[in-house]
Amino acid sequence: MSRLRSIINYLIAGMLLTSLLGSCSSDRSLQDIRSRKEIKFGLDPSFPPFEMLTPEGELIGFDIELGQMIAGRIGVDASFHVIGFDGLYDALELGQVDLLLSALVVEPSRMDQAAYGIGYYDAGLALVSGLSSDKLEWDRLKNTCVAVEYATEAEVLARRLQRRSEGITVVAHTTPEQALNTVVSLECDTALIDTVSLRSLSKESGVELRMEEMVTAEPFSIVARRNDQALLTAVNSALVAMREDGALERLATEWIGPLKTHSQGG
Amino acid sequence: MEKHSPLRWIIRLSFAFMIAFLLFRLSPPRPLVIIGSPKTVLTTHPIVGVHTRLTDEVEEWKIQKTLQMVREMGAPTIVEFFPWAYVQSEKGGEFDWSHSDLVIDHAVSQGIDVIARLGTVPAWARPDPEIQATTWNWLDEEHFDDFALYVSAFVEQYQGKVNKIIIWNEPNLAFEWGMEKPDPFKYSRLLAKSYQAAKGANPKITVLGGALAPTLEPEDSNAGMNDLVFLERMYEEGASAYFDALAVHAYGWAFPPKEPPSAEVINFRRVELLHDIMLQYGDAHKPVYITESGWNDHPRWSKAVRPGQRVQYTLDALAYAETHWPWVKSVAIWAFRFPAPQRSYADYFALVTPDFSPKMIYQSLQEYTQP
Repeated sequence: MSRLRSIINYLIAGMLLTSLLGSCSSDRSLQDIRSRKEIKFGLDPSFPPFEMLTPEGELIGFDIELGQMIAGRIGVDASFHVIGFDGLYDALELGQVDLLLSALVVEPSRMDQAAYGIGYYDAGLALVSGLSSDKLEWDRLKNTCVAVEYATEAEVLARRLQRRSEGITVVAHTTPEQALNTVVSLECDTALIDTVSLRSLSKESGVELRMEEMVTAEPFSIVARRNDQALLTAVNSALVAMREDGALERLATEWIGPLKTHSQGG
Repeated sequence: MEKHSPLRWIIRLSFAFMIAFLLFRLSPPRPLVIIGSPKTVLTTHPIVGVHTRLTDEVEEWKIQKTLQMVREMGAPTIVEFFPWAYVQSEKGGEFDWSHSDLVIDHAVSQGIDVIARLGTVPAWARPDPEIQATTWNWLDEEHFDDFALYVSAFVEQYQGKVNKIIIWNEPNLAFEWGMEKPDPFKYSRLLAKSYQAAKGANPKITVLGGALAPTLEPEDSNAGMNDLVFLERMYEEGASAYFDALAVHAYGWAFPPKEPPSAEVINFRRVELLHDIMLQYGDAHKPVYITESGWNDHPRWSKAVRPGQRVQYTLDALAYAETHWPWVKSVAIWAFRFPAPQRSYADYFALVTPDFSPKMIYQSLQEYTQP
């Protein structure tokens, strides 16, 4: 009996060791990319300003430049492969591309096959005010007019706030730009708007608004195959460095628009 | 030796069973579902309908919750799919109505009319996959009689509860025929057999032909056939005698609902062109049921609109149909809720999330229908 137990114990230990060694040696994702000197990014260029095509057919946008910068920091070239939005994850799984870089949000239900990098841009909802207003906090708003885009998550949240805080007026507009313009014209004190719309309006019309705080988070992430942890770790390291040296914010300002916050003294 | 005595093992096993039993007892009880007394749908706009997706919903409380929310939204009609493949797993075998019963009993209890969509083919009625790969929409003519038997059995089973059935779905798309080129003459023959079987089981049943998908695919395409052409070919085959009403799908894509119809464009008012063909072939007396409709607000889909536009277009479309189309009896919005995320643009057609959170469009429809 004790001999049988010893054999079983050795077998289990052997299997664990084999699987551990196997998992370590099977992740050649970063090695493969370095040896072929290229990262293949998959994207759907129908989402300006993150990825789009010029009339001449050239791919441009925030994600294109980000992909080139990440590849540069890893020491390889970047190539971009156009894939329809609904086919992106299939292309990744089939190995047609190494990574997806297409303003994608984390989908927990895909985590059995995909792994998400750290967020490189937060497209969540922000509380926005005019430059002259005092600092505002979403949870402490009272006696305030809040402008939102009609029928969006922002309206749902604002209506919820309205039920629990006194003096909240919610004004829903057809577009995010209209909602922001009511803050510019002082018709409303604040707006709850996604950061892409906020930055875009600042860039296009030069209006000066300030982001008080992020109310929801919607980070865009780079997506790798679940087992390609070495590659994803290298991408994450590049993103952390880019966040620290300001490269990510410069990209956001260039492609989406500027963002003023209280810490900038705006 | 004492260490491995049988007594010790018995004690260990008893202990393990006790733990398992305790864990089982500690697990939360299943929700108690009681059908309850019959309800009535209160609505000022009885034209509002919705296509539910209860086919793959396995938990009874979710079926009940869905239909309760449909009633509270003010929609007196649902379209629901009842797959033959789920009900008759063996040739000549018994029909298993257990899941269909759940859906229909709960719908009846909520005061909702069910338009039952019948389709899909059990494995035994499809080609051997070793010889020919197909999908479960593949139906050879040799099995038309088997399908007609299913239609007859369904109509008989739900006599007094279900008054309208649709034979097949989007018969002008290859996808709905297991990727076989759509054939209006073949569909007309299936419709004829199904109609006779349904009327044999219940002469009062309303048989809907269609439901045609809006598409511009030319007649020689392998992917689909223009819905206007397909309907004309059905009439040429004499299908008019085998449907009491026409089911159609009316999507708006990125166009507002009042956009004028044109044979070259897919928009909401394309339905008028199909109705013109009905008039041309002497079917003015037959009603039309829009069994799929709506707009999508996916942020990344080229055929989508903004969430606010989706709400406004949907309400405008319902008002337009009510005012201008007396021949349209119901407009079913696709789709009420998916049991699980579809992980694509399709999620943005839903009125309610898989966890039953109502979207703004649900609340707007509710406001629209309430007295």
